[in-house]
Amino acid sequence: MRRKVISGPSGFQADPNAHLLKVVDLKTHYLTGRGPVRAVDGVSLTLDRGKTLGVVGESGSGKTQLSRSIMGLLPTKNIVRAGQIFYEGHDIISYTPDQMRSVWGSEMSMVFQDPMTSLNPVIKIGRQITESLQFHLDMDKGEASETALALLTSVGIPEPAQRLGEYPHQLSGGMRQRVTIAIALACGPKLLFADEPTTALDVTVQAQILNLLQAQQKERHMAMILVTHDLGVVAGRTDEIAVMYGGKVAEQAPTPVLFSHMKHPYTEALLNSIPKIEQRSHTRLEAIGGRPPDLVHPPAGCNFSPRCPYAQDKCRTEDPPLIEAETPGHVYRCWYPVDSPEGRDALARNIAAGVPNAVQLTETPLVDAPVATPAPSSL
Amino acid sequence: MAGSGTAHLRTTGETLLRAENLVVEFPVGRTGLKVHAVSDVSIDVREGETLGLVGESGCGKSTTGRALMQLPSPTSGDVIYGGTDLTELSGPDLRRVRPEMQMIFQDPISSLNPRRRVGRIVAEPLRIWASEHHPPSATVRIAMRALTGAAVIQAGFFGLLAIFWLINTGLKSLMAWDFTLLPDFDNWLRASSALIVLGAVVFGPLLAALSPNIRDRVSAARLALIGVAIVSWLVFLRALANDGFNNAGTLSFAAAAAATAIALVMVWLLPSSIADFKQMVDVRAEHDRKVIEVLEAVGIDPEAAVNRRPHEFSGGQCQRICIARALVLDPKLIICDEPVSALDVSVQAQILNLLEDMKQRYGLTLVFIAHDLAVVKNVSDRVAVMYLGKLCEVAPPDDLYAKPAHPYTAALLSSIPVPDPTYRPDESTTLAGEIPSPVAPPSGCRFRTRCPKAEDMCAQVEPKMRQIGLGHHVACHFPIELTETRPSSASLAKSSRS
Repeated sequence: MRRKVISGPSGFQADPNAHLLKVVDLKTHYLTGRGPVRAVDGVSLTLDRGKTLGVVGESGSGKTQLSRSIMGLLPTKNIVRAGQIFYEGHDIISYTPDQMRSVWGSEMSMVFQDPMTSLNPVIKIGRQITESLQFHLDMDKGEASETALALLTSVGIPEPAQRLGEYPHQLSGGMRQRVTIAIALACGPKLLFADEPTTALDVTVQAQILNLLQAQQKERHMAMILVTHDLGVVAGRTDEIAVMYGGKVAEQAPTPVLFSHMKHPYTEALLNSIPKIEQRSHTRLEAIGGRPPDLVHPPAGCNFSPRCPYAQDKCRTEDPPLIEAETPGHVYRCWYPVDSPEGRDALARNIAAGVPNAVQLTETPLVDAPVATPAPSSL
Repeated sequence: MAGSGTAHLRTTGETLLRAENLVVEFPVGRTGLKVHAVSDVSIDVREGETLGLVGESGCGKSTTGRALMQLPSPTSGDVIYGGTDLTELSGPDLRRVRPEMQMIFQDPISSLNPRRRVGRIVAEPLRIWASEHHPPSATVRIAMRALTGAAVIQAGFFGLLAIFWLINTGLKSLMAWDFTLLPDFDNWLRASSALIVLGAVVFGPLLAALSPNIRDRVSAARLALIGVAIVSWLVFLRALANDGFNNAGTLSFAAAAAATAIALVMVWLLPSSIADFKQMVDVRAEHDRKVIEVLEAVGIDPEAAVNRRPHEFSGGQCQRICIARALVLDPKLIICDEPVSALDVSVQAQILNLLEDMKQRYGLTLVFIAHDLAVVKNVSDRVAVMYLGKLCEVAPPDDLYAKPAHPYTAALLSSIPVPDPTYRPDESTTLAGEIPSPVAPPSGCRFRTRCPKAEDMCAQVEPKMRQIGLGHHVACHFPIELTETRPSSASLAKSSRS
């Protein structure tokens, strides 16, 4: 059954000068009857050891496709995958699945969104964890189950010895996600992709799982790419954030910079659409009108322009390049960035012209319920 | 947190819906054990108000919502809607209340039938209720039942008769080796009777039995009987011409006479059925108008949407269609069971705004169930926090956020992800562990196993709901005092533009 390991976990000669991961102009296009679907359209990013990158965007923005494309977990047919992916200095984009086998698990691994569908329902949890240990680390059965036990303990599963003999359906959603994390961590990867790891979970469990991921990452000095649609999830837990829209990076910056000096109207809109707990109830939310772009026939110019409150004629004809902001590491794609003189002008012009996207921002908040007691001054 | 007691129920003012001491239990196989999904929960909703129900998965919030709708009825407790106790109603009486209470479900795509077109999905409640709003008269109903039965019996009778006759003459002709004895129906008679028999006698009763609509059933039965009458008379005349008035002739005469009598009764009913038909056409036009109105209200282009199927729409659009379907009967109360949990944040904001607009436009009362306290706070006038089948705290949303009294509420608040990199959640209130099994819930306060403030008393005495502020009730022995309110989150750098 066991296939020969082509290169062991130490198969990669780590180049200490190279970034752990460097993606250059990665494109992933699906060839369909309607034309190519530009799921990932020229994304470049770098990630160093021990750092966390948050990838944020709506459904269909290409954030999941990006992480799968980097990991090589894509169909082999009707797809164009171009660009460069340097992992530890090696360009892994041309690797065959057999070559990737030595990368998956021991170098990079992934935690998926839905723990029920990413675990095999008819195989006991212990077997699912030990599988990769035996394959990649050449452990024997006893050694592997000891490691599995240690892993389950480290991800905070109570009574881990008993759990090893159970099936996934016997665990709750949060516990299942802990198991998938244990599996992903089993071979000590240097890079962990967490693809919406908490979207299927409750808020309280979400906090637990995110804390667990963060703790494990620190302990193992592992890099992590946290993919999510919720800016709240990535805010306190990442070093850098890439906001994706329509297969492109709309804005990328170190986390504190992104929140304090955001430039792209989409980032701003995404942040404003989150209901905030400190707002009074019945505050009207600033929803982003319209729908994500059609990835086969993207709009001319900037792909956010049909939904953008700042959009001008230039935006509808010229696609903005990635522009560097004054802060190092902060790049964005926008002609009229938020909080710049041009941006403020553009917004004022749109409001004056009655552009629906812009007028929506000025609508008076819908507050009709009197608040019984004023909030204490500490708030 | 046991949350028993009814201190939080309001005595003044009109309440549209009031549930008292609601208990829902499900048996666990044949073990005799029970899942205590909802244990002694009391809530009330005023007209035009939004009640938020919030809690983790498995806390019984969805079960409570369903128990309010009697889907299924609670194990015990009362659900008083507009003065009537729904738990005592059943069958047609309960059905009559249903159009006023509608539900919106969590997963918009799986709650729409993928094989139906959107226009039909949204019109379905109207189609179902059309016959309830314009019921056929009692005579029509009774006649319809009698006629359907008669049509089936007569078809069978006629068929048997024909078979016996054919066997009889067939045997005779075989034994005599004289095939001229075989029935020599004229070609036109054979063809037409075969057609009428096939069309009317076979498909008529079949249609009558299968068609869901009362009116279709009446007309199918009518068709069948007229067909039977015609064929019976043809057979009788033929038999008379051939053999004279023998046994077969007598039988077919009896059949023909009975069929005629029944067909006459039906012709007498025909005018009322024409009136029914006209009304039906009017009602359909009215339905179409209503469907277009609600689809427009929820922001879906009716022209483009009615002939498409759900898979052609995005999740957010499907949720809009679900909302349109819930609105189409002009309900008073809508129970929203996690309507935005499966949606992206940007779409979530659109749907929450839409719900607020629809509430204003149609004067709705909402019960909003969700696990995200920030979402619930945004839409609610009053929030009830649930844990393991019990209520913990009931308060106005701004109060609940400003000074949560129950440790569980505080934990829920601190677990909300805040989009601010400088914010550090208060680790002391973060919940560890998971919700205990509802099959054997902890004694006393159900939250005590995870509560940072639990003491011995919590294991023995179940806390009762008590008032601690204006409209603010808590079921806890040791509620969080005002002075130890959770530290404020750093205000967002760019939280909102004013």
